This record gives sequence, structure tokens and C-alpha cells, in this order.
Amino acid sequence: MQLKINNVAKIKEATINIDGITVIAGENNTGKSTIGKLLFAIYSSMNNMEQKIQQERNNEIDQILNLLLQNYAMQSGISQVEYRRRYSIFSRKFIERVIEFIQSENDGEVNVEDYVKNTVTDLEAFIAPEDFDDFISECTLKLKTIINISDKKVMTEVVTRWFNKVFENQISPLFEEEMKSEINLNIKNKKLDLYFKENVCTDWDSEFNILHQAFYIDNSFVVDYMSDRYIRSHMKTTDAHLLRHLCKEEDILNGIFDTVLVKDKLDEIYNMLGELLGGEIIENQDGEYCLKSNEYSKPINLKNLSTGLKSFALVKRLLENGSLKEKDVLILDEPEIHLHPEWQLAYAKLIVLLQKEFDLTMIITTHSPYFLDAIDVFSAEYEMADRVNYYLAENEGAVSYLHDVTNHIDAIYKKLSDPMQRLENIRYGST
Amino acid sequence: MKLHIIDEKKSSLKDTSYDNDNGKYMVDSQLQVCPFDEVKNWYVKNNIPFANPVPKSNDALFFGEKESFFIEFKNGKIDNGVNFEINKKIYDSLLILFDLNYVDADGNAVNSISYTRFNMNYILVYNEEIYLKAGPTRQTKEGFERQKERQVESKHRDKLYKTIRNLANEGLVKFGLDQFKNYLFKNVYTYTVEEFEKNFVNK
Repeated sequence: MQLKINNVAKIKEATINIDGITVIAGENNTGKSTIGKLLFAIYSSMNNMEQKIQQERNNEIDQILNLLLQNYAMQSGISQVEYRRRYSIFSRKFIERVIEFIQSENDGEVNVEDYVKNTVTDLEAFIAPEDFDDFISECTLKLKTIINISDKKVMTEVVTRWFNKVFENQISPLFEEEMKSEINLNIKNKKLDLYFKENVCTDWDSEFNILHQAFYIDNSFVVDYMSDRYIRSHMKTTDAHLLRHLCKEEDILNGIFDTVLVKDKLDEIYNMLGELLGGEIIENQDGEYCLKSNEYSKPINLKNLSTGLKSFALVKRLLENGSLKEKDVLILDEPEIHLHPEWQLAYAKLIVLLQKEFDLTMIITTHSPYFLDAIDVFSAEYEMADRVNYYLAENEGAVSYLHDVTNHIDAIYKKLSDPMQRLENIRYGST
Repeated sequence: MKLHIIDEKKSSLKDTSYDNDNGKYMVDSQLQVCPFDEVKNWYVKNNIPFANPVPKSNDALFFGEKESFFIEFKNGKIDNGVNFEINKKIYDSLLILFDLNYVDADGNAVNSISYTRFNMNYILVYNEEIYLKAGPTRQTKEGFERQKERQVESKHRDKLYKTIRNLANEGLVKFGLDQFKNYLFKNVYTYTVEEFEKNFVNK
């Protein structure tokens, strides 16, 4: 696939081929992570579109209904506890019917009111009979506004919200906020276009449905919170999304394990993870996640694993519980963090193998010469060097550009080794 | 026609690499180069016979087909004093060279750092074994005072730095000589004997 962007966050323009593994290097504050975040935002906002639209409509209808009914219920002297009990039974059916109505593409003003009148039953649980008509006309009026919003508009709102969550309300160019942002994703000659202005999605168009998931990993400490899921609401969007999938029940039959017909393919990856981690990740009676290994008599709480091991545990868990599937998108922001060079090599090898066997789309940002070289060497070793592209993000004034350096990755090494020459100069007294 | 002094003085690279203190040659190459010490001696004799101290000079000058090189061999430990001497040799050699009215094969006058900055490289060849020998190399900066008592050379740091600099297609320039790159010379290299043979002699 190809991602083309204009005026997004710090990046002025970039065209990036994302096939197999895409490595993005560059100094801090050059917009390296923007590409990964963009892809995550696109995938997570636009996959399962129908389901998302329905969910949005459900929420809206639920809100309207709840507000309205609560008013009437208070007038009828129904207690809060009783109200909530009755509401939960009533609202489910009601929302279901309104959604059915929207999907049946019935339009016309009369229809909505009639429909509400005919489908709403059991109103007496909340409202005195003489208020029925008032309720129905008020409800109709509010519902009409929702019904008249097209699916596309709902989706535009979903996209705006997701992107703002992922980008902390900074999608629009930082160098000139009023400028229009354009994002084009091209997969097999089919296009998906997104437009933003002042952090709001102004339009979008898609010739394909996104069926795959994207995972954004920039923090292996997420495994620490597996036993404490309530913290999710305080987390970054990317972390919360990852945590939700880490905590998913084992679903081996639906996972990557099942899509691979040749078991051998997995063996190498599985053996590698097994050797490094030395055990299985299990949930104990207290709902805490642990590593059960033969080396120790008691399972080790994942929180107590060395930080480096957490990176591997995380990937293993995503594979084991079936979260990570063939052709999914995996975004790794500086995966070398907390890893000794020896383990950076192992992690890079794991990434290359995962890409090769499961055709994952991977975006990796890195500052590590070890990691970079390991990706280069292992991708050649496993005969898939042509599936790796390298980009260098560089600042030019306040804006940044991404340069394709696939055919001269020494440009990346130069950036990584210049500080060494600087130290060498200082060592001999010249600055 | 009388040959220019730079073309007249010839010797093997091997001879210019002779270490007087230890009576040893650093390289074995028969490549014909200009022994610049001899050029300096000739210059002093004919122009500044009473100069005191006598200017310093690099060991060899080589005009190749595309680029030219000043080459300096250092078989001993490069401490602070030697480091200063290396720097002085660079300046003195260039000043003398610019005063000789030499013209390169393409007809360009070799008379300024504007020329050497684009056409000339500098190579320092050092003895790795001695470089790595224990013994503090004094640092020039106060901040490095505490390092006086311990070895600042590290074989493996060098290996790491060199490997990564090589991946970047940029050699590691040691001894603070990087300052002359893009100033006095187009490129500056600091090679061990082995690296020198690989990257210069056998090229």
C-alpha cells in the first residue's frame, strides 16, 4: 500500500510505500511517529465501519431516550433505582426498533411519528397515559435529527473523534493550523481519502473496506496493567486499545495459529519466544497474568518480568489469544527501548519472521544501529529484503519531510554515528 | 626543462614511513611519493636558513590521478605533545606547499586552502598496538583531568564506532583531526597500518 500525506502534524509532505516492513529513522522531533499513528488512526477508526456507525447511532438514541424518559418518570414519581431497572429493559427494544427503521430506509415526516407510535409499547411503565402523545411528538422530533444524519456523516464524526484521540487534537499542521490536511491511502489501486481542517474531518471517501486491525506498540509496560483493566480509561488511546486485546480471552481457533496451514512456519517463532521467555502466560485464580515456567516453582507475575522480556511477552500474548491475525498492521515505536543489543537482534529477527509468515504490515521507528542492522541482515537472511523500505525523517525549518533512503541506508547510519564522531572530537579536545 | 622540486623529490612510501626512534618501517609499499620532509628541508635552506625553530612537515605528499594526499606516519604513542606536533605539521606543510607555485596535472595552482579543501586529503597512519598500550593520554580539557589516570583508548569502543561509521560510509576520524575536514582538506582519515594498506596502498 502507499500512504501519501500533505500537511499533517509536523510533516509537510510524504509518500511512503508500506509493504512488508517500513523502517522510519530520524532524530527526535522529526515527525517519525506520525506515520504509524496515522495508520493506526485510519485502521482503528475505519475498520468494521457498519458496526461503528450502528454503535454511534445506538449511543445517540440511548442518550435522547434516557433524557426524555427520565423527565417523565420523575413527574410520575418513579424512584431512580426502579427507573434504571425499567429503562434497561425498555431501551434495548426501543433502540433496536429505531435502528431497524433507519435501516429500512423509510423516510418522510409522517412515517417517523407513526413508526414511533406503533412500535413503542409499555410506555405506561414511565409515563402517565395522558402524556403519551406529548412524549411521542417530542421523541419524534429528536429522533428525526438523528435519522436524517447520513451514515457518511456519522462516520465523519467517528473519524474526527478517533484521530483527535490518537493525535491529542493535533492533526492539523503545527506549522500552519488553518491549512488543509490530506491523507490518501492506496491499496491495490483502490483509494481511501481523508481531509481535515482545524482538526475536524471535513470529508472522506473510500473505495474499500478496512477489514484488518492495527496495533500500536510503544510501551511494553502495558502488560503491567493486564490485571488492572479499569485503568484503561486513563490511558493513551493506543495503549488502551492494545490492553483490550491483550486481555482478550484465549481464542486460538480464530487467531493466527489457525490461519497457518503449515505448522512448521510457526515453530521457529514459537521456539524463539519460548526460549526467551521460558514459559507460558497464564491467568491465575486472582485474575492476574503470570509467566509459568519450569525454572521457577511459582508463576512469575508479569509485572515482575524484566522490562525487556515484557516486549516479547506482549507479542506472544497477541499471537496466542488470536488478537493478531494475518495481514494485520503492527506499528512499533522505537521497539529497541529497554532491550540489550543481544535482545534487539532477537526482536528484529522475530519481526522479520512475523512479517514473512503472516504477511503483517509493519511500521517501525528506530534510533538503534543494532536494530536497524539486524532488520537489514535478517530480512536478507530470510530472503525478504525486498519487502523492507527505509525512510529518513528530517527537519527543514519548522516542517519535516520523509525521504526514501531504501537504496542508501547509510544516510540513516550517518545520523546515528555523527554523535560518535562528535564524542571522539571532544575526547581529543576539539569541539 | 627543470623539474619542480615536488616532482624532483621521489621516494618509496616505505621510506617515508621510517620511524627513526625505533628503526622500523611502518609500511612496505613501493609506491612513489614525494618525501615532503626533504621538500621542507630544501625550502628552509633556500628561503629561511636561519629559521628557529625549523618548520615541521608531513612525511609524504602524493598527487594521484583524481585526488592528492598528505600522509603522516606515527609509530609511537600519540599523546598531547605529539598531537600538537601533528597539528603544527599540517599547518607548516600547507604554508610551504602554497609558497612553491606548484601546478597540478589539470593545471590548477596549488596555492590556497580553497584548492586543498576540494582536492586534497589527509591521512594519519598510526600504530594500533602502541595506540592501545596502557598509559594515559593526557587530555587538553579540564573536564578530562580525571581521565589522566586511566586509559582512554578502548579497542572495543573503537570497533563499535568504526563499524557504525563504516556503515555510514564515514570513517571514524581520531585524534581530534576531524576539525580539518572541509576546512584544510576535503577528507581526513586516521588509519591503522592495516586500514591504510587496505584503503590507500592497495587501492
